[in-house]
Amino acid sequence: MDPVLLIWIFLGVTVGVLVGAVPGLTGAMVISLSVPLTFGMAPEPALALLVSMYVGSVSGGLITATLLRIPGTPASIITTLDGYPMAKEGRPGRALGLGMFASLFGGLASWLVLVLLARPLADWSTRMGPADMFSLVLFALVLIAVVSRESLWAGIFSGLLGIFCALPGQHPALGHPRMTFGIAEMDAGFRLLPVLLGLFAVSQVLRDVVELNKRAVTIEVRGDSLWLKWSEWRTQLFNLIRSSALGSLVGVLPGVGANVGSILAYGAAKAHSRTPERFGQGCDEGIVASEAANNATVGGALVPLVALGIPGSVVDAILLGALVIHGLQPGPLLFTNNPEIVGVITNSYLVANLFMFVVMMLGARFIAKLSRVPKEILIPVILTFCVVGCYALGNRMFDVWVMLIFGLVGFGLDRLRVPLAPFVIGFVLAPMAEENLCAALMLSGGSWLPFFTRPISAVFLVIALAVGVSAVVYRPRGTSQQSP
Amino acid sequence: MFLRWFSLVALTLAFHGRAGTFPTKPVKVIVPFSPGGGSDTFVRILQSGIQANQLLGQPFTVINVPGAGGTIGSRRAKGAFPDGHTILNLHDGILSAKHSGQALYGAEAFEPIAATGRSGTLICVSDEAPYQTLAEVLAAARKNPGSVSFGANFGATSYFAGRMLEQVYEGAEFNFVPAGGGAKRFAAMKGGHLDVSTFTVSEYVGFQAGGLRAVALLGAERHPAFPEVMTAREQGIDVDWDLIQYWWAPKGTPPERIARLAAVLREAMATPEVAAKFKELYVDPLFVTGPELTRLIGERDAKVARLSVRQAIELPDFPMMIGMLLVVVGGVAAWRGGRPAAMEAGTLKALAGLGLSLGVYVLALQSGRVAYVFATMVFMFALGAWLMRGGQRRWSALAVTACGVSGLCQVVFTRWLIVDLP
Repeated sequence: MDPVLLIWIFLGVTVGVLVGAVPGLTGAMVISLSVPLTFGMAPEPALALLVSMYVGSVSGGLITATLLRIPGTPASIITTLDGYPMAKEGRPGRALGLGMFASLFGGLASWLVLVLLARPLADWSTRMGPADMFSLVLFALVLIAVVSRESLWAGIFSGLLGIFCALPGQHPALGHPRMTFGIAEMDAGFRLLPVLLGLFAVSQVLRDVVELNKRAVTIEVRGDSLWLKWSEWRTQLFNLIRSSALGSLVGVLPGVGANVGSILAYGAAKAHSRTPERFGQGCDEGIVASEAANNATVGGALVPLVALGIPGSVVDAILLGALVIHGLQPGPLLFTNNPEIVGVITNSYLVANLFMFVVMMLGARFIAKLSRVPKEILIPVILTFCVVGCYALGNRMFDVWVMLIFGLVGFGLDRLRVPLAPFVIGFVLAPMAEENLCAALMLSGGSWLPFFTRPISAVFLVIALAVGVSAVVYRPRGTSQQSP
Repeated sequence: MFLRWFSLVALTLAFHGRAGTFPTKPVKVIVPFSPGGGSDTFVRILQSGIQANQLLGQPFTVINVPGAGGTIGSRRAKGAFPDGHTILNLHDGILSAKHSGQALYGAEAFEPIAATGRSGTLICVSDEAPYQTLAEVLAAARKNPGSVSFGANFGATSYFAGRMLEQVYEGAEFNFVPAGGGAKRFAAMKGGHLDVSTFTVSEYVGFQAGGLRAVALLGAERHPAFPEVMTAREQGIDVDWDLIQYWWAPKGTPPERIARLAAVLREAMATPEVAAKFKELYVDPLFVTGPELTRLIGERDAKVARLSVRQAIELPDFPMMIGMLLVVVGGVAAWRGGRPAAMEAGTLKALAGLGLSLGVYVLALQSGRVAYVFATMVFMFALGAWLMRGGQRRWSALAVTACGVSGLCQVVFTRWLIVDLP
């Protein structure tokens, strides 16, 4: 590989990790805003830079999710569930170490998938029709019940509220505006980033401000290590493989991103765990599942891109645009006409994962101190980034107001002991579910039969039903004290 | 006193601006779609042509305002100050958005500057499909109305292309299914979920090898890249529909400035680098301006206005369903959960302080009267100072952070990432 490319990859990974770690800036946003910067470059370094930013940004979110309970990117929402409790217990180094290694493992595993299985997997992904996609998303929605630790009903309520807040805007099938209350700015609905930042960053800041007055606990770093013993990793091996496989598969599906991958992997890890009650209280398995899966989705998402020219995620759609600008024709012929470009993408992806691990490990000692920066200084910085990040998303002040309002909503929900993660899961998944449901119904002329007769769809529905029923009927231990 | 001086200065500046040649500051072009999309790529090619040859004398910056099929961005441009420094790029979607009811205004709300570039539209089927010609597709859609699925987003230009075919071939009825952008439609066709869809010529070049077959070009004559694909007219179907990119200025923009912008666009189109890029993307280098442009837009608007959006089936009312579920589950959750923790005085104070500082900051930014760096610096310092009131006071650290972060944000976002900060 060209050493100049290595420099670009290093730069991309570093920027990506920083962007991922700063609440308010997301990978998709910075990558899309950087595409014009690459116009003057040759296609190879441009793609290497963009791919490595993508890898870095998905990984960097882990840092603030763990140390501040503010997910830096949507992909790390699930990491907050166990990462933050572990850090609060005084083991931020262990939480970061687990997350970083799991990220590396997930990235490498999905690189193998990308190199070995791109063609067959891409063909498989096109066979997933709207009905199958709907059932898959429904399955992920049912996992809300599994993720809600504190209280089942409050969790389901939170998920429904998230779904409800995703409804305003353009009708996903018919395109006309709906539930906009005559406000023209609402025609595009609420976008994910402002909602996420409001719910997690702004509401967490509110909580911090309240606690400041009480002189509350700060994280005391005890002598914990980033490096785990081999015996500890051995117990996680199966979890790592399962989560990476799930993440890769989910990543291949168009439009289904890193957050869905980590939700599914977390749900699966909890379902298989011998100690499910420890999930949400800072257990290793939760962090490992979420971080392995969200990094694995990146490689998965590159599969349809290189094999068929179909973007597997929002970021890939931007990469496709970059290909076009650099005079390359995305599509099934990319492999045949420009094998060197496909090579650059896959190699950059591999190297970027390795660099990501090195950058984050070297930075970890320094990063872990972040939780000890005085809150009086950290809070204005976080809020400034959130405001500018929301604005930069679409050059609109409206998004900033949305963030502030959802900050209040998040704070209120937290006071009522309603968990926030299900809200975001519902919010992310609802539009996908509705879009595919409508498309499937329109294809079948209004008949619901295909959901049950298409084999893939039927399998997902059965699993969803089983998981849903078991979550309601067999209440996990450790939640019973919540019921009156 | 200050105000008087200020207005005097402003007036002189404005006068100066009038006296000097337009443009006196950067021209912002609003692209109502995300970076990296088709429209964005198109605009950026012209932008690089304008910048590289210094055709404008001022920077030509692209501002992406995506959302709601382009209507969020077009509304922003519609309300912009009509001095020629803010313009809009939007293709035929501006016509279809109005006639499908997605926006209340159309082309009439703007002054057209120029039409630049045209992409041919192809009607495609999967190469495993039995159809060889568009006539066969339409015959099947007439024989069993609703049996042929047509991938097109409701109200988008491709949807109207489908409706035009139905209108010309009496009795034919497609089953329109929303299917996203070109790549997603290709995936759906390859997987056998869709029968027919439209693709632009450059999309077809990319996806053809993956299993697509063009049955007709909706253009006046055959495309040089695929001489074997018949036009719809040759098959006796009188439909001519392609995608034209237009540039718009807010109503009230002085005509001489519009003429200047049109001239710049014309020069940019003529530069060899833009011409070469357009050739690569199979964009016909069409250029129309002046009265001829008004006539062209009027003609195309009339074509779309004749048609309407037709809903095939009744879809479930999700807002209603989710709303009812929410009330029921919320009731259960409230009944099962305990009482919420009471609000303490400290909490309210914290909320009020934070809310006030954030609210004032965002309002100041929204007003556009305060520079971003200045507002941010003051906000950070004020908030930090308020938070420190009870504890240790770290003034210098706070001041350094406030200046550093606000300056960094300004530089990164405006110089590097081209965001339209106040």
